[in-house]
Amino acid sequence: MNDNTMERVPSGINGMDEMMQGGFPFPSTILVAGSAGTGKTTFALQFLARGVKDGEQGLFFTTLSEPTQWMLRFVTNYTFLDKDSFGRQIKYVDLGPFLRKEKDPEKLLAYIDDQIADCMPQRIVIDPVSIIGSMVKTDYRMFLYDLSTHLKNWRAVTILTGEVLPSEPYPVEISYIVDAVVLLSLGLTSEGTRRKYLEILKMRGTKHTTGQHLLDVSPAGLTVTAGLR
Amino acid sequence: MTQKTELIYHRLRNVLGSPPNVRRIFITVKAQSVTRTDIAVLRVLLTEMDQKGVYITVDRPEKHVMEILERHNLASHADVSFVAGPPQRRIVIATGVLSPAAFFDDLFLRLADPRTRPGLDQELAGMKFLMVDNLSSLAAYNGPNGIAASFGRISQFLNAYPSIRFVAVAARDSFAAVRPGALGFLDMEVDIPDDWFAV
Repeated sequence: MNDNTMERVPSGINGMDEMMQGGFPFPSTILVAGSAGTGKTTFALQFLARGVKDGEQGLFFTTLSEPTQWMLRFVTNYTFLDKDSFGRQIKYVDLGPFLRKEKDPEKLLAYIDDQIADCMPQRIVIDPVSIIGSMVKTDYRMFLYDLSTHLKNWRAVTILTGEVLPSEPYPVEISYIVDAVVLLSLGLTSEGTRRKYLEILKMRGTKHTTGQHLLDVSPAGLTVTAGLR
Repeated sequence: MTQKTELIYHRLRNVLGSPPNVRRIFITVKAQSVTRTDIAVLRVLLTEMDQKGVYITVDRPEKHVMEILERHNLASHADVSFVAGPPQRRIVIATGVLSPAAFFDDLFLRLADPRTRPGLDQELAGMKFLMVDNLSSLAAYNGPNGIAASFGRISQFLNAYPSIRFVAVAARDSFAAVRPGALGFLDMEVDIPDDWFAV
């Protein structure tokens, strides 16, 4: 696919679209990976919030069984998301009860399909997808491949968030099946302070900026400053 | 239904209610709204105008098409057939992947072949619309020759069935790649503004 025909959607992350030719390819699946506290859920919500601003429907799947009100408390301090959009422009689905009861990956995929067909979102988040690996009784890589195929068929941009383990730079098994990998990390500056960084590791069909770039968090959400390390 | 959604339906009703000589209609929208617009077009054609037709999808599996039709109350399993399936249904669905130009060649040959299904020719003669979902994928998977060949096949089909109108929803930006091959083909091009799709 050449640049002339690839549609792109804004990421919602301040400063990021300039790093990737204007936005995420549409449709596509994006892995946003990082250790705890690096901003993965904030990234995902900011992505959905941008969709709300553009009049799009979003769908947020959580695998952590957080009730909606806990999620709303989490975003209270951010100005990028209107809480009233939860339940309307952003549909919130808790996969936790389903995962605890049903270990069959085909049934899980059918349930996800069902939720997507119900609201036909343009933006989807599964946060975090890595939990599913420990709960489905099957080849996890095959499940991820099927999940990716299903998601692409619905023609949306999907963000999968994944925990990074100490032993790996990013969730390798997920990175194979996605179109893009964005890595969020923590690092120490020369002054000894801990800062957040964003790096686009891969993005198919896109000339993207490489390397780690400073990521700031404010009430307006995440802001990446390309070129600043 | 919001006021803006009603605007969209009003425009679609006007377009789809065009005089019979307007037989090749392209509707352009932003990429993220293509599927939503497909559903709206199907709603007008199937439920409001009570028409029968053919729905060709280039890269969506049959299962997903059925889910969309059922979930949005457009058609049930009893209403739907596939190319070689039971006759006399309200909508015939044909799905293909990856190589739309070759798929179109194969599909329209099958549609024209009486061995595909007895009575298929008569059934098609009673249909009113042919929809293609979606032209952006056609542009993504084929060069200009492939796109022109696909429209050539569709033209032959429309010539064989004068009661059928062609309708396609396309992503505005990628339609630029399709338009050169479609210039000699289209009768009407309609754009729906982005802000009409606000949820």
